Amino acid sequence: MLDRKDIFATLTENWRRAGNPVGMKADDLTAWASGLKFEEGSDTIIYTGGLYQMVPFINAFVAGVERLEESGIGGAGFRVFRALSSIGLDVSSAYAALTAGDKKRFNDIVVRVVDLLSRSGVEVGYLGKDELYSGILFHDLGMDSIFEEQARAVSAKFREHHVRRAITIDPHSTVALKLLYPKVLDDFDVEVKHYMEVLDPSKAVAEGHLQGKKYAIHDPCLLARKLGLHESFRAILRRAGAEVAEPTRSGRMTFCCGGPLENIAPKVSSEIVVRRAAELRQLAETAVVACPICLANFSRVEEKTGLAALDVLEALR
Amino acid sequence: MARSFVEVKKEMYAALSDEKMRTGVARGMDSYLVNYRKVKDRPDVVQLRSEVKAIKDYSSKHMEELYKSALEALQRNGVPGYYARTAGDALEIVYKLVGTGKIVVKSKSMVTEEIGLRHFLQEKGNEVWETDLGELIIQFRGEKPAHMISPALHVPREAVAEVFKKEFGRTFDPNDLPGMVAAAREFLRAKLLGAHVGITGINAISAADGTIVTVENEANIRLTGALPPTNIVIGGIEKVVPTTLDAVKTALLQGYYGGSPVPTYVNLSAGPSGTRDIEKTLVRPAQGSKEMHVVLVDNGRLQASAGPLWDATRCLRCGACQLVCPTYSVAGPTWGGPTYTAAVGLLWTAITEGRQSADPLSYFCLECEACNDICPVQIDISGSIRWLKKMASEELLGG
Repeated sequence: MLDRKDIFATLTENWRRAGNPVGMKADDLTAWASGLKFEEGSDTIIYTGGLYQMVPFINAFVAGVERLEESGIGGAGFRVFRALSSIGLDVSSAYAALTAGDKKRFNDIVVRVVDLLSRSGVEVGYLGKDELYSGILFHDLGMDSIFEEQARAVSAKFREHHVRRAITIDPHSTVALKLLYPKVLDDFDVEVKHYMEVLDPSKAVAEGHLQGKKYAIHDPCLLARKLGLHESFRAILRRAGAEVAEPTRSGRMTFCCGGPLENIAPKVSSEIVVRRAAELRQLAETAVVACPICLANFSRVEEKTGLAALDVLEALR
Repeated sequence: MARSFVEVKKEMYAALSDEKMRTGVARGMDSYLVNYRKVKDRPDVVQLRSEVKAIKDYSSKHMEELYKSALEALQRNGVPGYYARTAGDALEIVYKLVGTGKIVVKSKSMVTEEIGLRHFLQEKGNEVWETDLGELIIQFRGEKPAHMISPALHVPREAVAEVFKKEFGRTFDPNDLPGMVAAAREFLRAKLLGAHVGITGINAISAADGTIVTVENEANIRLTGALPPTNIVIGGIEKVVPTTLDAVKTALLQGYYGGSPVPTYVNLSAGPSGTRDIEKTLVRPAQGSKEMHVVLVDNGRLQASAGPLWDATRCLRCGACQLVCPTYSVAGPTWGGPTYTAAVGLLWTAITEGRQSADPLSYFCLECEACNDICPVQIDISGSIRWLKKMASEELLGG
């Protein structure tokens, strides 16, 4: 049983060392863009927040945390404030074991969004190694001083690159930049839009190309309740002609997959997603989501539940 | 003594494999949604939500003034009213009224759970019975309520049959719900008729004239309040709203959001029974209770209403937020403090037990905002839970 302090120490140490909570290398965060051409000096950028690229690393990290919890290390008597690496969390070998294919699936999601935006008539720049992590996990865990430090750093990079407009691709980073940065920073005047606010399905999505496909829709909680984009999510699928099966708990009343607890209480997180997956599995063999945290969480229990999960961006062809 | 993060996590992890609890909570959450959908878009309910939000906003900001007015109004009605600053004060007041060797019947009340009234009165040599069916089930099982409105939410029918067999000495078919309910009715009716004291709660109370409003389906509140010679009413000071009409609106909305699209009984009561049938002169008692006492419990509420958790003091205690919470769906009542569980229950734990008691619980909140979305008075439950996390995390980082 791991204490919050030990988990905090690890996430914080990773952030200090690598700039993100799972300690992923910058090369892995930017690899998706290699070979792509971006608008030079564009004041409109794609801001990936790194979360889609992070999915295989998050899964390896969570597996490490789960193993450590099962081994019985930690617990009430464990009072030393130190990182999990010192008590046996070895993620470096798990990270090294990730194959090119493991990473490609999630990198391709980011490539896809740039392509869809371009087809909608929106060309974007990309900050590459200057794109910093949003800090959102630290906000979720109440570590506001780190979140604010990270917000300042992101904002400074935006200023350095004269960014006026940032297009985000996942709900968590969107909430950070669009809703939270303006609260914690005095001078954040970048216009932030989620790609679903910008994308024009009539231009970007080939009509009817998913006809015959059936998906159970899982509304990511932040996308539906905080960003109100659940209808835009459906509009993309409708345009593609996919059959969308609605669970009892959908739209604004969606049921969170449990992903946000993956570090702090992976067992609770896993029970929630198994429950949700069972509800969706009654409707279809495949669920469609629009969030890397949901995607990671459903993928961890895919074998157990028999429910495959796709991000809407990868469902499109 | 507040539990540590690891202790909370251990209990929650253990609960994940409690199939009975999981079944009970899942069935309860599913049937709640069916009833919720019947009220959520009803034009009168939509209108009521905005009115009650305004009533509770005002009441929370004027809590002290309002509870004092309510006590004065009760006095004018010939009903002794008491302000209890702490849980201990409340117990002392009730003990002076009940004494020892009595049969006491109670309707369900979260504030009596909060102050530990049933156990206290039992320790003082009284026989105490819960008359709400769910609350009776958890009394039999020796547990705390799993939910504000449905205390036995975690107990599926099979487990009810088991505990009734133990208590009533005969077997029950778990699928014969009417049979089990009838057994409880028979058992409780005898207790109600023989009781010396009936303790009831408050859904809302009017500052203007001291009228108390309760909403229910079982009729146990009316019987508990009316049959025994003495009626003691207990509620939190946050239940005071300006007028009787405000109180009716507030209580009705609580009923709707508590899962009753058409609550069976709405009770208004402003004193012990009386009659003016002879020469229009008030004579007490008539058919119902001979005397009535009202105890308004503070226990952290007034202080909370002026601090960072003020938002939660507007809570109607309908428990809707708990019934849409994913963490609660798998961990059940283990995700909670000594009295209040899940969602807004974490904030009530902080208000009544202190922040330290709630802070280890706060980390199991997903911040998915299902609670905020359903709350009829728009409490930022998720944001307030995150505030608890922030206070605790920044302390950890700083130390």
